[in-house]
Amino acid sequence: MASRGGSATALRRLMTEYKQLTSQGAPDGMFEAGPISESDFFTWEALIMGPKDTPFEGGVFVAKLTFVSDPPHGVPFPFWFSIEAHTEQPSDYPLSPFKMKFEPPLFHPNSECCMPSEMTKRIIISPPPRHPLVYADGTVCISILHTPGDDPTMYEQASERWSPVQSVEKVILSVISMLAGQQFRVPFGM
Amino acid sequence: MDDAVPDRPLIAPLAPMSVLRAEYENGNQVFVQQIDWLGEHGYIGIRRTRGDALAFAYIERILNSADPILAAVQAVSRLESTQEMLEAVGFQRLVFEDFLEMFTTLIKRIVEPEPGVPMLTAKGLLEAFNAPEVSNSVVVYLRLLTSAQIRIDPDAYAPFLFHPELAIPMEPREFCENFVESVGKEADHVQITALTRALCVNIFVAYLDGRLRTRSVSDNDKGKGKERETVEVEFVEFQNGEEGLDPVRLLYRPGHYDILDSRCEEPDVDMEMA
Repeated sequence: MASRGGSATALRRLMTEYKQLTSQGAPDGMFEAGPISESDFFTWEALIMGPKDTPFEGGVFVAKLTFVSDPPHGVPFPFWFSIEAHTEQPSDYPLSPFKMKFEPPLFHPNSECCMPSEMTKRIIISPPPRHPLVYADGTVCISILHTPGDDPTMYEQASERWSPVQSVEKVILSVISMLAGQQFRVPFGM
Repeated sequence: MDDAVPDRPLIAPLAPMSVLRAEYENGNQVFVQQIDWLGEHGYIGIRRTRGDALAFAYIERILNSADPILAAVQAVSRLESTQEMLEAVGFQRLVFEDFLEMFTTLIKRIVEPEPGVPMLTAKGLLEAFNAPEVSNSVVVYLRLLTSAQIRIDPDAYAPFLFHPELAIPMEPREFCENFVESVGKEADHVQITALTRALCVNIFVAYLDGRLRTRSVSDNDKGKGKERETVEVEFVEFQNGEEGLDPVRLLYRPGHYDILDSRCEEPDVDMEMA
């Protein structure tokens, strides 16, 4: 009945979003995103350029987006770690949001605590910068990736939440402004 | 908000009101009397829902109208014209067009279904709505429509936008994001007002609250007013459709809407529309 990994509605919506992203491109080339393979539209990869005039400038950050069904009602998001497992239930995107995880976790491109190698593969030799909205393992936890019913006390009232009118593009733009705007501490030299 | 029993259908077949009455027989007798009042006034059937009662009832009303083909054509035209309003408040076409398509495809089955697809009957509608993909699409579109209606005319609705639990006033955008657009949040007075305006329909909501009403009764002999408690079910009428347009009638109990009907069971035969 449903195609592998997701429902027909979810697939159609993801294909439409991908088509729009490839035809229009991101504003200022700030990011790229798309399915990792034509045969699996429910796992995407996003390449996000570190915003200018921030400590993330110069870095290219890779994030994995997974479109799977939400866990059963009542399970708080931060404690559900089975991001890798595709559940048996078909994806009900865009009713449910997707999961986003930086892989490798966020890093500081110009800090002395990184040993530079290729552009997209950096070896972190000290803890990555702590960002209030990204877990140490790279999982992104911002309000737009959660429905209003999901832990309503965790986010400010005014922050945007997930609903079917959101999209991959809107979330990534939100993440970029999060990188640009948030205060954070980088542990230099232990 | 969710019903505790997961194996009840999203939309149930029609059942007689006596089924509902039985649930209250050992409890507050005013509920029982109010249910009897409904029966006396022609509402002898109830359709239980776990999903969105209004969405189902909206299409059912088209199917049951005097001229279903005309009603269907008008509804599709009305719905398609709402896209402009959604775009005007900033919803991108790509986020809503799939939902709208599923919605209008369903209604078009009343007029001219696609090849290989049967004409829509009462039974077909019930089946379609119990498939989450279809019912979700209809529900989501109606929610986006409600949100757009509020956002495009914020001054008209602002005085009524309150956080349902905290009772603090909210900005239209915030209210819409938290209590209109996201699936699973129950529709309140303000949402039904906005939606009936967007769809140009009439919706009457009966409040089953287990409370007696106080009415003045004039004492003919002495010409003096007296107060008396009566059993009555109040209908809140949201009239935004043509006058005389058959309304959708819903039954409200806190946290829950069901559909009222003048029939107590599903029609026997699958009536094909000529």
